[in-house]
Amino acid sequence: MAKKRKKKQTQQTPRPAQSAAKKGEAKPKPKKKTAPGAGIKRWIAPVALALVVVAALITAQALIRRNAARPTGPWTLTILHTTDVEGYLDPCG
Amino acid sequence: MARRATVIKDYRAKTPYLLVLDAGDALFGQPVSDISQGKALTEAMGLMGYNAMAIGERDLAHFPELLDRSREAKFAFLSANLVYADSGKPVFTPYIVQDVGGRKVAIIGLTPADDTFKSFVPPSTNITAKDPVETAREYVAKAHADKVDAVVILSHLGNVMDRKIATEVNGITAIVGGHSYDLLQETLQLNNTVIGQAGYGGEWLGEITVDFDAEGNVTSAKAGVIPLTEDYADDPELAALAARYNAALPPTPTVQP
Repeated sequence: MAKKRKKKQTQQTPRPAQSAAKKGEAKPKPKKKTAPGAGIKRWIAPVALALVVVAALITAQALIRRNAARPTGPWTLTILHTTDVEGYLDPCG
Repeated sequence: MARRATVIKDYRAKTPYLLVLDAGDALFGQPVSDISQGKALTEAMGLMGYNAMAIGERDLAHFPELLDRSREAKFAFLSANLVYADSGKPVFTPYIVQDVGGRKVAIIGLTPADDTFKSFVPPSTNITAKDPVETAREYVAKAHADKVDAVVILSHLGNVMDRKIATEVNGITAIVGGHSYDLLQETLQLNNTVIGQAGYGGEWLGEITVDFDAEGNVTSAKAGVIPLTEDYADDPELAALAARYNAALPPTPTVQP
């Protein structure tokens, strides 16, 4: 009986290396403390980059459309103009 | 004014490349315009589809009302050389790039900086007028940087200054002038810039035409005036507007003999 007890005790004494491993298992590393809003901060750069890319694409598309719609060929600019009307609703002008 | 509206409508039906401009001193000066604080003319010009007007010294004499009208108007109030004395910031829009039938036309406003400015503009307004020639040079360069098809100076400087600017500043397609009451019935062209001025009181409508080739070069330019005689019918909408504002005038006092 005493022999059995002794054997049990021997088994229970861990080797130094095992002890460290078991220690590690038993005590999980404490989680790093994250600053409030750190999760959001991680997203700011990629979202901003995506927005910049989208804005650039929209601008480029608008410029292409504008240039495509711009007429070509000879043309005549007509300007009708007045001056120094000085508040006249009448007579003729 | 009702006849003017008829002519403008006729032109609008004929060409997509039309600008309608006023070279300043438009809004004030008669009982009907002064009592309405410039609203009568602002509304009328909006109905006629004006694109822009320059700021004249007589407009500036009613500075607070003028600012209010500039915020309400359907067209631009332009002056590139009027700035606040303390900050140097422009008082009105310096220039616009107008889409004219798909073409881009820059319109730059200029206001006199000489003694007429000082005599009409109350010192309390805290505004000053910069040198018009240098200002024209600066904004014409800006307009060309915008890759416009044409550059128009809307000037209330008088014909002498208009000639000076046309001669000294390159790259101006046309100068629409005012202030000196000149009725330019013949084409005046200096340094490839055509200059027009249409008298006073709204009795004439100035007309400038500029032909461009496919490369954007000016091939010819003409300027003249259209007398708004009885040959032109009154536009009903503008006639009604004039009648409405005239009806709001107080009765003229009768003089006892």
